[in-house]
Amino acid sequence: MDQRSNDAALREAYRQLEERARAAEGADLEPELLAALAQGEISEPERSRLLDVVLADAVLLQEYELLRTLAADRPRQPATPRWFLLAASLLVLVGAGLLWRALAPARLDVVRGTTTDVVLVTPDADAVVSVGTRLVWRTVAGAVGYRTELVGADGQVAYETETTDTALVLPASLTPAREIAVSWVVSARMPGGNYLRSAPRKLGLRP
Amino acid sequence: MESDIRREGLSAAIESTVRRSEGLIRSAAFRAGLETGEMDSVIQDVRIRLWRALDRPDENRTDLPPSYVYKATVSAVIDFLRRRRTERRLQTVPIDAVQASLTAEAAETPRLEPLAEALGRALARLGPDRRVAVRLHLKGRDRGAIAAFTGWSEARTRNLLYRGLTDLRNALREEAR
Repeated sequence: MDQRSNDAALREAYRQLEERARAAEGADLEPELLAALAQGEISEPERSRLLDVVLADAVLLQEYELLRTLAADRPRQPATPRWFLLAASLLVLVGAGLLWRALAPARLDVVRGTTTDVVLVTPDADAVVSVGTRLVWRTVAGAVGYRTELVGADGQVAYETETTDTALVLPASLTPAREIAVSWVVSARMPGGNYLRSAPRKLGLRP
Repeated sequence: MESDIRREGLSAAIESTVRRSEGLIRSAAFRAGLETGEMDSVIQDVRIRLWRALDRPDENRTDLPPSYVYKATVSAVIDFLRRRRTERRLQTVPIDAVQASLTAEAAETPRLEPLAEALGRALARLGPDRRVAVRLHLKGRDRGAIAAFTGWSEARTRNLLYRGLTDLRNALREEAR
């Protein structure tokens, strides 16, 4: 058997192995870990070990490829001169941290839903709702409140309220001039002040 | 009035940013073999995150640094992946259907060919980095694609692939004895 047919036979054998692996329950690497791997933030030998796990699972591989393609196009930070790094380090040593703290409120924090434990129940996606419609979602263990938002197609919040219940009746004050498309999002407020968010669900909101 | 003008400006700036991100997200999804329609919720999530970041009384800017937009996008994708996993786990199937499916699967699943069995054992004997290189080679990727996938340099990729394939051949020879 020559090299080429040898390779072809091995590739076919590998395809069979992949088919078998597909049927098995895959490993569970946290999406954040996959993102760090895709962004080159994990060093060897852990990097190779994780890539090996990714390659053995079709779903993980798909997720990794998605994050890797995004990471390939991420904006690069301009190179920082060494003298500047040194000066910055000295500033930190003399207490520049206080300055950062003072500036903190002006910094942009990525609004991150840490998990997706908020599950929307009714109405279904693409339903048309109006005043009096009842929105229902599942209880999140430990939540101290729920923020319900209806966000317009342009991203602007059309309605926002906070409740302790897991249901909400749309109030009479919410009457758009014409039918509009909105995304319904529920965020569970946890005791530490962080929020767990639902996936946005598209609804039509009619007068 | 001033607030309306600011919101109009914000809306235009955010929509322009979202349009740029949308192209990137859909193309990444396509390349990963996902339905590009699955990305609708991710794109809306990015839009909401940008509004939340900018539409605040203490915030005067209408544009966002590309690094922030990237972080918001990755964060939205991570949430999407988590939801997708949860949905997969929550998919409930009647127990009879599971039983029937397992029986049918057992009857239909072909046994692995001897070469595939031997290959599985031989791969398990390689070190993780060489195994990664060999797996990608067996998936039909060339050296450039392997380097891009792993983040390794061209030289490291060449080295690991060469040594990995040599180890694999030796292991298969031993299997054949």
